[in-house]
Amino acid sequence: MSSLATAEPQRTKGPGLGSLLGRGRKPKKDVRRRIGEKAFTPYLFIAPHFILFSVFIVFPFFLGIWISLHDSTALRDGPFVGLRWYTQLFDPENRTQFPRFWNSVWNTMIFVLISVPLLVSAGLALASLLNQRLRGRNFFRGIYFVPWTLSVSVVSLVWWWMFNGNAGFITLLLQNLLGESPNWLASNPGAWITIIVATLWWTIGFNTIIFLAGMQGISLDLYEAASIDGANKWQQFRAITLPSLRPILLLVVTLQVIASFQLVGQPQLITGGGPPSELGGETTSVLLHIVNTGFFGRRELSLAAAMALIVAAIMVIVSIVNFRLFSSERS
Amino acid sequence: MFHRHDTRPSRPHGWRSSSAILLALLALILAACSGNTTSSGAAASGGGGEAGAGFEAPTEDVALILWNPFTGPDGPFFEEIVTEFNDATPTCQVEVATQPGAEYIGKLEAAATANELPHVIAAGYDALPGLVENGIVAPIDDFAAQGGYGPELFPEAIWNAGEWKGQRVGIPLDTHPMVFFYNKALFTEAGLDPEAPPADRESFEAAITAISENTDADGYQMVSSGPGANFLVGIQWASLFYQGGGEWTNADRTEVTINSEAGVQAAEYLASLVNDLDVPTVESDAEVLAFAGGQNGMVMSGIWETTRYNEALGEDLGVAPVPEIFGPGTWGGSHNLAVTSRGVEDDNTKACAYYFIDWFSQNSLQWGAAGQIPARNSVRESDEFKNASGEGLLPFIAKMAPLAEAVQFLPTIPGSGDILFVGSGAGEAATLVIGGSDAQEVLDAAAEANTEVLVQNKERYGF
Repeated sequence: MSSLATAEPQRTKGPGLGSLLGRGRKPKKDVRRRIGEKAFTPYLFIAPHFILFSVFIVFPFFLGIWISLHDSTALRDGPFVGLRWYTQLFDPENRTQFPRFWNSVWNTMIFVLISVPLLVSAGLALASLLNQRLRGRNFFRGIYFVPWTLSVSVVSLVWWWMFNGNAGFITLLLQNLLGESPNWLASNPGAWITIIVATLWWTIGFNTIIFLAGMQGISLDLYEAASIDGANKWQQFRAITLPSLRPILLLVVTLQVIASFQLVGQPQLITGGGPPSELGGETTSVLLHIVNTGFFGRRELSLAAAMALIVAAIMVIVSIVNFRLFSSERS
Repeated sequence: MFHRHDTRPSRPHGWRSSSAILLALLALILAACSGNTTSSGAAASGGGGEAGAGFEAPTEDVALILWNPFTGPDGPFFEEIVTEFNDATPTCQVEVATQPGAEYIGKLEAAATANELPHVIAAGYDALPGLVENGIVAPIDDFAAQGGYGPELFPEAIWNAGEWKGQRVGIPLDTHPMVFFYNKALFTEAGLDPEAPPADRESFEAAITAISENTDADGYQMVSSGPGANFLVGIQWASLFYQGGGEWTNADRTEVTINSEAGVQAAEYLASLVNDLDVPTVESDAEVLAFAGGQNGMVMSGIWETTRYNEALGEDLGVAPVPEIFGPGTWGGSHNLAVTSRGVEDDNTKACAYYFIDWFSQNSLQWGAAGQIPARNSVRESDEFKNASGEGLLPFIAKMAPLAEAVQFLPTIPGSGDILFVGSGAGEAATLVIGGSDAQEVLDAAAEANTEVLVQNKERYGF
């Protein structure tokens, strides 16, 4: 009785939980339809994506949870082991899985923290330059975008050739000019610099193009008005370009955070996850660690599934924080 | 260029394949410069005809599918032998499909789920227990019984490596040990006898110093980083570990013992070369390229590098067993031929598979020309093998053949290769020691981590 009494005032405030669940007020029946439109028509429109989404996202997600609770191999489900893999990953006493997994998460964080501001600001700067009226503008736009069309193996190979300690172009160049060169791939920060430079060169074109498209949508009247009022280029950039680009910025930052979190090919191919460390490599990203765990060497599929779910949870949290940050700025 | 596939499950395949392309290009350039090409398979193997082989080709026509991981220069040699077999036995025809080494096990698992397994596979001995437990490879005790196969036909360690839970699961094809390569021209330049490669600790260290001081080249180079470090340092460490009498696990397989005295001594020795003898540290595979380029006087590599070194150095290439720093002992892998569950499904297929494996084993001389030491004693002891000459690899392989008796293996249990090669394995620990970590400390941690996995696998597979 008392619970009903407390629930009652809530309903007056708006559509409470009751109405959302179909209780309370009767749902309206007068959904307006076009002539000839059946009740299921809207669902038909959703169906293609929903089916693909179910097959490739929803089903694998739940299968991943299932696998992570068993001792599975590629060929059999294996016995149910409960939270064994999660315990290994969260138990600081564990000498194998705990330190290596969190080391790889930490490595990934470092990469995200360095690469996201760099790639976003560099993309913004490049877009501003390419938005000017300059000769060969389209040529430069093309040039900066071309690397983005390459595959990670090509990019990694190119930069491995630039930086490797044996006959790398940059290594040899520095040796000839300065007499010595750091061993880029064998120690840090050299290894991270290599990976970040390669990533910058590879993906900068994408951010640039998005920013450029956003900039071209800004009305020129605003700039004209600002220049009449005596605003210089920098003031125009801060007061007009940046605020107008905010939705684009949210998109780019969100995509960039996710993309940087998914770092795997560059360390795999350029540094092999090294320089070696007692925690399993200083540039081993979390995805690389998952791939190595699940599909190479020990092939611990279930353990890798547990790791993947933990990473998914982390990424959800990061994305929520990201959205909050931007939406609070807007209000 | 490489085929470390079977023994090196941990190395990322992408790096490997991309670097293989690079190295292939390099090899092409080198080959073009030197202007000589190696004659492949000049000596055709003369049929087996060994007593005790009780196999007959099937009466009905059978088509077998065989998978192997030989993506390197050894692949064509394998296919050549199979072609010869197909010509000789019209009722039993074998089709070879080569699969990239790093994905080999994954592809087999996928084929098993799709019910499209090959009938016969070539695989590293250490992969067999896992494949048997997953129902991919079938035990073939009846093959051994029928054909009179036993430790008398092969070096004992090689034969025993193909056994799992008391069952015969693979027939050894070859062994590919780590060997000692040296540059004869640099030896001469350094005032060393090019025909007397170092055989013990003293002469090895003396050669390092002599070459470093008297030539522009390094005496030796130590890998300390890079994608292949765990593997390349791992096989050097393992050889020294065997030399010091190390055992991988305790007798009842409940504890990994790589942190024993032999293990610590092995890691410390590798580090001492850097610290005491000024051996430079390099990225993985740089030592291989430097040796091929004449900037490194000595290198310990897998026998599969012979092709590349031979093409690059020609007559200056010297090969020898690994110097006995602490005693005899050498790391090596071994390919086995095994029959899958699909291969034993019906009698005709099985007859063809058995007949093929027996034939291949007897005719594995040509496999020596591919750069591996044939496992079968009668092949290694044949005059054709011993007196091999000419430009191919066979003369080198013949020279290294005694290693077949010296080579040692990891225990044949699921995941044993991981104790050496995977992250938190002995190879990684040794790499860290070269980088300055305390040997006992990192090997203790590695042993503890691997014991956790061993205990887990013991529970899983019941051995």
